[in-house]
Amino acid sequence: MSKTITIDPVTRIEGHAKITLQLDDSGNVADARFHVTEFRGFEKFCVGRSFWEMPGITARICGICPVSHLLASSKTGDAILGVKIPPTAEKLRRLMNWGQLVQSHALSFFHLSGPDLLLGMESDPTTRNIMGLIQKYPEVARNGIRLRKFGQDVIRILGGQSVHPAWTIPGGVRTPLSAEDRDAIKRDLPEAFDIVELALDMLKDAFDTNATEIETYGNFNSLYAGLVTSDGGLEHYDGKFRVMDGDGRILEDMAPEDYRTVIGEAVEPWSYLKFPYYKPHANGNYADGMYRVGPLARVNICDFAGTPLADRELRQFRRLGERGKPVTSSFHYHYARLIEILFSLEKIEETLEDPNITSEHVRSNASVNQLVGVGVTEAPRGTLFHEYHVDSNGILQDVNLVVATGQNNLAMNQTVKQIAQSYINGHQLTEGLLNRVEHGIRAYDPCLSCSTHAVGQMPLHVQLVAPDGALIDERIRD
Amino acid sequence: MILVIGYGNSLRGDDGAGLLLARQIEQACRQRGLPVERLEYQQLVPEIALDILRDDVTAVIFTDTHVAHAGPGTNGVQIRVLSAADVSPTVGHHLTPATLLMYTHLLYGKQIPARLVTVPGFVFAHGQAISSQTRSALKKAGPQISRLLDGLPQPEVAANCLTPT
Repeated sequence: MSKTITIDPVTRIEGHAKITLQLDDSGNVADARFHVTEFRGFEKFCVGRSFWEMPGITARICGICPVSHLLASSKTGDAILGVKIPPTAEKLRRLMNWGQLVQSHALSFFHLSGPDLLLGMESDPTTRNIMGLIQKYPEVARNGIRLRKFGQDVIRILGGQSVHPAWTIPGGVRTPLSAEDRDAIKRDLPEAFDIVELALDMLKDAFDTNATEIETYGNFNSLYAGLVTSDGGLEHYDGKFRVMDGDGRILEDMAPEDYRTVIGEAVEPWSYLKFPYYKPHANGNYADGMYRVGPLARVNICDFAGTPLADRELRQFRRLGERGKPVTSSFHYHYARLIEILFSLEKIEETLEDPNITSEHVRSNASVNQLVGVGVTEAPRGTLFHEYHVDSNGILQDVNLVVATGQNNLAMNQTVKQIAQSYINGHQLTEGLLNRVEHGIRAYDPCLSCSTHAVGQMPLHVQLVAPDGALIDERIRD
Repeated sequence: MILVIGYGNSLRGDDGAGLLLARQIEQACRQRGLPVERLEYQQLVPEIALDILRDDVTAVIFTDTHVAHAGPGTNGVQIRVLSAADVSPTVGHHLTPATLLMYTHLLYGKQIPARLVTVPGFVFAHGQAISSQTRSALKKAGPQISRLLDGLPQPEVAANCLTPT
C-alpha cells in the first residue's frame, strides 16, 4: 500500500513550504514534492506603477536580499532609459551587491545551517538550532553576527540604511561614496577576512563527519547557470549568462537579456513556486531541463574567480568533483558560499582602492527610450531576472520576475527525493530523516519571500497518509 | 536610552503598522524628555543584537503587528514583557524579539528590560494602506503607551539592571 509522508512546514527557510514523500507499495520513495503553499504575487501588484518606483517597491519583497531586487530593478530601469551608467556608479552598485552576498551567506552558513553542520544531523531537534549552537559554540555565533554586520554596514553606508536602501536607481545611484565612508568600510575588512577563514576551516572539518551526506544531499547530474564575466570569471552583477552541463561543457554564453530564448517557466497545481527550466533540454518533459543556480552553480560555471584567495579555494573546491566536471553535491553549496564571501571581501578591498570610487559623477539622466527592459544580477541564491514592459510614459504594463529559488525548484525536489530514498526506513518517520530532508532544502537557502512572498512562522508537521487519505502517523515539532 | 525597534513590511497593509506604532512610542518618549532611538526593519535579524548591546541602551521596546482574532477585548494594542527565556527553538530568516534578547544575553552577557508591543492587523494584502480597524487601534494606543513607559525602568535605574553573566 503506497503512503504519503508530509513534512509541513519546513523550518529555518524563509516563507512557508511543506514536503511530501510518496511511498510505493514496498515502502520505497517513489517521488518527492517541495510544495510552496502561499502566494503573494508582487508581479501583478506592480502593474500600473511607474518603472521609477520599482527599485523601492521590489526591494521590499524581501528583508534578507533587498539589494538583489534593487539592483535588478535598477538595471532594468537602465535598459528602459537606454543609458550606460557612469563607471563609478557601476562600481558602487557592485560594492553593495558584495556587501549583500556577505551578509546573506553569513546568515545561511552560521545561523541556519551551522546547527546541522556543527551539532550533527541526528542530534536532538530541541537543541539542534541556533540556541544549541550558541550554547555549545558561542564564538561561532558571534562570528556570524560580526560578519553579517560587516555586510550590512557596507549596504548601510552606501545606501543610508541596510534594509530597504532605495539608493540605486535607473541611471546609476543617488549619492557618491565619501572618502570618510570608504575608509570606514576598509577598517572592518581584516576582521571579516579572519572570520571567513575560520568558517572555511570549520566547514572542512565537517566534511569528514558528513561524508555520507555529501554523497546523498542533492548529489546528481544537472545543468548549472549564472553570470560570468566577459572572460569567464566569477561574476555577480553583469556579464554573460552561461549554462553548463554536468560534464562541464558550456552550452550557452549569451546576453542575459535574451534569457527567454533558453529559459521556460512551467507551473504545477500543487505549488505556487514556478518551475523554470532550460528549454533546449526539455524534449516533452520540462524536468529534463533542470538546472541549478546560486553559489554552487556560480563557482562551477566560472573559469576562475579572479582574486587570489578565492582562486586558491576554488582550486581546492574543484578537487571535490571529477576532473574537469562540475561539483555535483548540493551539500557543497555551503563551501561555495564561503568562497563567495571570500571573493566578495577581496573585491570590496580592491574596489575601495580605486581612486575613482569617490567620483561624484554617479548618475546618467534620460527618459523612456525603450518600452521593454531586462535587468539581471546574481542574488545570493542565484540569478535574478527582472523584465518590465512599459508604455511611453514609463507606466508598467507587464512585469516578470524570475527568482533564484524558483530556478532551483526542480533541483530541490530532486534533492528531497534523493535524501528520502537514501535514509527512509520502511514506514518509520525518524527525526534524523526529517532533519536531513530539511537540511537538503536548506542547502539551497531558499527564499520563499522572494519566490512566492510568504510570511509566517514554521513549526514542523509531518504526516503519514494512506492513498485513501487516512492519517496513519503524524509528528509535530513546535 | 530607550531603543524602539519597529518591524514589518510596509507594503503588506497592516503588517506595516508596527512601524507606525514605533513612531508613536518614540514621540511619546520625546514628549516625556526620555532619551530614545527608533530603528525600523522589515524583519528581525541577528546583528540587531549589537544595537541592543550598546552601552547607552537601557530598555528595548519591540513593535509589531499581531493577527487580529475575533472576540471581545482582542482588538487593542497588546503589551508583553519579554525575556530571553521566551525564545522559540524554531527560527527562520527572521528572528523573534526573544531570540534577539537571547543573543544579547548568552553571547554578550547583557540582560535588559524589554517589551513587545503589538497592534492588531486585519488586512495583509499588497499596498501601503492601513485598515480602518488597525488605524483605530493605533489611535487609541496613547494611554497604553503611557502605562508602558511608566512601567519601564527610567534610564538611570535601568542602567543598574544590566547583569553580565
